[in-house]
Amino acid sequence: MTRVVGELLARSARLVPDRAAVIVDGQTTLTFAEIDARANAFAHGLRARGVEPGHRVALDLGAADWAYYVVAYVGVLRLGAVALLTATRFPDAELDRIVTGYNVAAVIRGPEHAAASAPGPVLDVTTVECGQPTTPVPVTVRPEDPAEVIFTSGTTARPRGVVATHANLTGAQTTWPTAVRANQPVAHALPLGSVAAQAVLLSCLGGQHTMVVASRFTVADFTALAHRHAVTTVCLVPAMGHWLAQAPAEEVTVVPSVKGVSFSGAALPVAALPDLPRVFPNATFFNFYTSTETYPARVATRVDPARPESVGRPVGASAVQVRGPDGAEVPPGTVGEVWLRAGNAPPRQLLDDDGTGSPVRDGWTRTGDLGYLDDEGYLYLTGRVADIVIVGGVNVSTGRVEQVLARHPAVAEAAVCGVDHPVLGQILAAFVVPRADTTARDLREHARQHLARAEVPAIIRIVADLPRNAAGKVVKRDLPALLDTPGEAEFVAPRTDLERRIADVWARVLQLGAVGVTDNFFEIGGDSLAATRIAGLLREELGLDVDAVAILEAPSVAELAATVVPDRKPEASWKG
Amino acid sequence: MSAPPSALDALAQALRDREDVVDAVTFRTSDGTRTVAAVVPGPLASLADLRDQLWDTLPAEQLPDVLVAVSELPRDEDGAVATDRIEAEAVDQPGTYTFRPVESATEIAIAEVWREVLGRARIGADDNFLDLGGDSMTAVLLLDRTNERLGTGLTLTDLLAAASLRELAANIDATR
Repeated sequence: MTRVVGELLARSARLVPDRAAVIVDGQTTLTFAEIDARANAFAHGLRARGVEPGHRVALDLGAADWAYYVVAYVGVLRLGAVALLTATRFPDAELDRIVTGYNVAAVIRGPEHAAASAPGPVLDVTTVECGQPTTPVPVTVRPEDPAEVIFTSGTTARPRGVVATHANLTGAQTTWPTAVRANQPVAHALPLGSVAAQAVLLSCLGGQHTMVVASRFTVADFTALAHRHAVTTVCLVPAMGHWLAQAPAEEVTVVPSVKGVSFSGAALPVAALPDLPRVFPNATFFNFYTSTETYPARVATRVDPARPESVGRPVGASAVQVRGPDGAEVPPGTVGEVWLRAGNAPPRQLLDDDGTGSPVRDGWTRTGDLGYLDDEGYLYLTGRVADIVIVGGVNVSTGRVEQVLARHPAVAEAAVCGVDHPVLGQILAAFVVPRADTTARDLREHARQHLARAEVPAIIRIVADLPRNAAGKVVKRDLPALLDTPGEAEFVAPRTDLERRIADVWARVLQLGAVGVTDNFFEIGGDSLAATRIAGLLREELGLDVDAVAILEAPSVAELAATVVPDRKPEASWKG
Repeated sequence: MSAPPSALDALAQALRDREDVVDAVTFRTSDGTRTVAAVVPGPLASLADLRDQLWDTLPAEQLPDVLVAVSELPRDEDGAVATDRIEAEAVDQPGTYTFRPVESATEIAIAEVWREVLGRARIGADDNFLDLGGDSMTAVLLLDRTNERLGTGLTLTDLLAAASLRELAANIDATR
């Protein structure tokens, strides 16, 4: 009953040797007994090439290598070595820094990349186990030994390595099966090397479930794959839920066998919920949240129409706290940093941590995520700590703005970030993927009704899709670049006399040749001083009752004209 | 002549001899109705596995009524283990295991589903689904099979609200 990863698999291989353990893209199938034997051979092969217990081995394998990855991962761990899940995510220069900086003994690559010039001793994953015995390597691995290093996803910061021991990984469940268990096949398209993919892998290897992997996610292929293998569980990231909900019916294979669908990383976009039962008619939907630093501490909930934006309550022995800047817990409803604690597993640590940057204090681990708890202890995420934008001296959580925008019926998904403004410091820019016809003006009105003034985005841009990483997570640092390309309309000439006269004033103050009526005030160089001067001229020359705030709140000629046009009594339109 | 070791003493010795147990004490509850084994488990021991192994290896008369984990054995001033404190603080709390077998037809049918879904050889009447390695995903499958086999219309909430298998069975029987 040793609680190490290699033993979890060995137990499943004894109980259900011929059950399929891993199926990749419906083509490659490995049974539990096959993985068990081949992982032993892989461990012998590493040892024959000089890798020793305690050494670090980079598994630089991509989605095409999933089957080999499982063999190599268990093989490295059975040798007592540490698997660094670099997973082809890094350019050569960065991988080189990891290999030399962290003293990596071997880099395991797929056959197509093994020949390429790469740092350190590169091994082709397909050759390591060749000719090696399938008997266990005579190495004692202890639960407190390091097992794997995951690199954080780096949507807001540079990646860093997080070390998990065997005890941490196997501690995800207090109790593992000791007898044959009903197969509950799981399909996922999670990125290799992510904490969510590792959680599914461990749960399947130890829990005797078949793991059906899609090496890339398309709605058509994924639903067909899930149907073919009659999976009962599906694990996705929220963006995939969004794509499934949006897909035309002819691309979707309905999968009635699915009983549970879990979304990890963030709450499922609210707009996707009504459309998902079309794909999974018998499923219950769950939100699930953990982080690379805190796993196996986690929260989860059944997606509840009464609180669809919650990621849930702590699971099992996990515990959650929301803390303020002073480190003290804040009351329900107050946003702070989310801290998690795993009750029955030792916490993770940073790779080669010098002690200064450790996210762990007294068994609790900081997540870097912002959120709040409701009165019943349900957790809501509002963004990353790094996603706080200071607008006019006010701290704005971009996650909260995204949630409000996503509640608009025409919005499929929204991402919000701060962009630099020469005078105002930072202003908020929102990028919205629509699910129905809408305009920036409608969305701004919606935002204004539900958000504080500083939280209303200065720029609202309607886009076809958002920049994402391999996990489907929105990459916030790539959002500002979207503003470099023209928006929905490059130049819309004034359509009414009022628009023409307002545009004329704007052009004079901003010293531009011409101003289109959909041009955003902030994007064409407007600031509060310019707004004051424009308001003054509009009052003097056009007799309009507008002030600078009106311009900041309706930051295009068309929007501004619309606020003053209805009854020519502006005090009744936006004031009051 | 020392008295022959009682069943309780033999149990305590069997527990202390195990590698995954740091220390152990056995006692009878103050009202005399139940026997308790309190163990200080090793850092990674699973109490469910320990319970099953005792159930499979010990004679029935040595099995305690309750198996409970404590972080250390509390002692009073003269150094004796303060079993009254263990009884007050740990027995009848969540996370304890008992050895009461399932009895009624409903209990036996539910236990069969749990065995299949959770992959546990032993299922007791007081067992809690989550303590046996269940999670939200297995709960959905469990619910499905329970409703199918027993002809019930349980919801996920019904399933998770029941503290034990016996309570779930009683709730089902009450609605028939």
